[in-house]
Amino acid sequence: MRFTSDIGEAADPITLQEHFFAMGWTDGLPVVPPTPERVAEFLAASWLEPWDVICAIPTRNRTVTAEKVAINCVMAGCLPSYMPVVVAIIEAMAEPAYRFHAAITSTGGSAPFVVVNGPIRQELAMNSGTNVFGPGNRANATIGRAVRLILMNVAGALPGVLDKSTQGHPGKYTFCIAEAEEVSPWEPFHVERGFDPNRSTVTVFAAESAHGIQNHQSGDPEELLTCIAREMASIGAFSFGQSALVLTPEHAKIVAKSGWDKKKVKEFLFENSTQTLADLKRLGKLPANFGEEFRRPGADVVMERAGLSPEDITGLIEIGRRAEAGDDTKFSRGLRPDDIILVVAGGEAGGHSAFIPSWSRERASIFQTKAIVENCEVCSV
Amino acid sequence: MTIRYLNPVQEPEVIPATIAPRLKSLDGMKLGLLANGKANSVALLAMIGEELGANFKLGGIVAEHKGSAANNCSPELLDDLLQRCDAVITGNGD
Repeated sequence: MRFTSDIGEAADPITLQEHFFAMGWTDGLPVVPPTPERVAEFLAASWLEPWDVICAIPTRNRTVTAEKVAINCVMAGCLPSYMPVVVAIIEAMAEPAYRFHAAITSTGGSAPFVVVNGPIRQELAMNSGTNVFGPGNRANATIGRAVRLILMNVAGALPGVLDKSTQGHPGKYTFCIAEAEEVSPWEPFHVERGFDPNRSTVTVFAAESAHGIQNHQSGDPEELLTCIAREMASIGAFSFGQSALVLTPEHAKIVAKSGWDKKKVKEFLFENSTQTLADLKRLGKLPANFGEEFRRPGADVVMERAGLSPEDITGLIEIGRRAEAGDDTKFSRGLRPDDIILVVAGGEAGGHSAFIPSWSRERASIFQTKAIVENCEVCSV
Repeated sequence: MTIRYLNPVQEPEVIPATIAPRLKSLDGMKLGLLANGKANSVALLAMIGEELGANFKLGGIVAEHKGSAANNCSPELLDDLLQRCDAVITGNGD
């Protein structure tokens, strides 16, 4: 297989590691050497040629090729079978509404939070259960890590150089889970998004760090979800951006056994994760003249130029209109119930769920769901 | 034992560009102010426009907004500003 990447040589494994550290090519951890032979194995296990372009990043004048994806997947410790998942994640991030460049360079320090759905979870032995956000599973750990190495080495988001995260968070190392579809009382997230249950997908969300929500007492869905909504409304993370809520199976069952479906859950959470305009202004979350930018003539044109959807433009103009009513006005987190990615994952014991806020304070980044190319050996793509 | 490895880095495509020729003065010139979507960019650029207007006999001010700091300015808006203005100021306001 012919490659366009420069080939270097190191005298031994330690020299190679030290060279990679010195060049800033790692996330701070040792890497698997991306030998031409190993990279070729990854590409051979996919439908891709080295020169195939996965996506372009116009704001950085860069392209992401299959060759570079494979090199960084090897470095991360992936297996060749993980390539299609990583490719789908990068493709999802390249969708205009995700805002690739902004999401990986902002002071906000977002990490791409990835939820994998469908049969590929079992094929790759991914973790959707105990310690789902923690270490120990090769697929979860290295798929997320490969994405980070690609963002650094291929997209140029080097910490402190282009990645200006003020603090960042540990999810920037890796932030990838599988949904526990088999124990969830509801339809899987990708089915909710219109995909066939037997289709595998990734959902990618530019995320801040997870907020743990522990509740071991509630047996009533409204009581439990009010507790969760209060966390979702937490002032430090409050915004009109989207959210992910990873309900542990125990919490999901408490809610579902009373007949609550996902729609009802999301509507309840949206209605109850609120802050007053007074508090948002008083505590430095919104300016004193909040709302004017959405009421100004031409505001819709500006938002259209920013790439916002017509629904989001309408939603923000409505926010601006409601802000005129006075500081007692209550605003919900997000613009609508479907701003919540509701998935089930975690161990079957323990009342610990997680709320993950959007990096974007408004609508700059919208989560994306992408199908994973499967059966690569027969794929004609 | 020698280990051969592939370079993981993708360099950007470098596009040669030249700086636009400088104006000798802003007197009589139409000034564009292109806000980039950061929180105070409109206000900051307005102040800059005012200050320049006090020091030069500007031929007019064209205030535009590119929508988001996250995106490139659209080619259509850039072309429009090129047609209507002699100089354009843009940048962050945060």
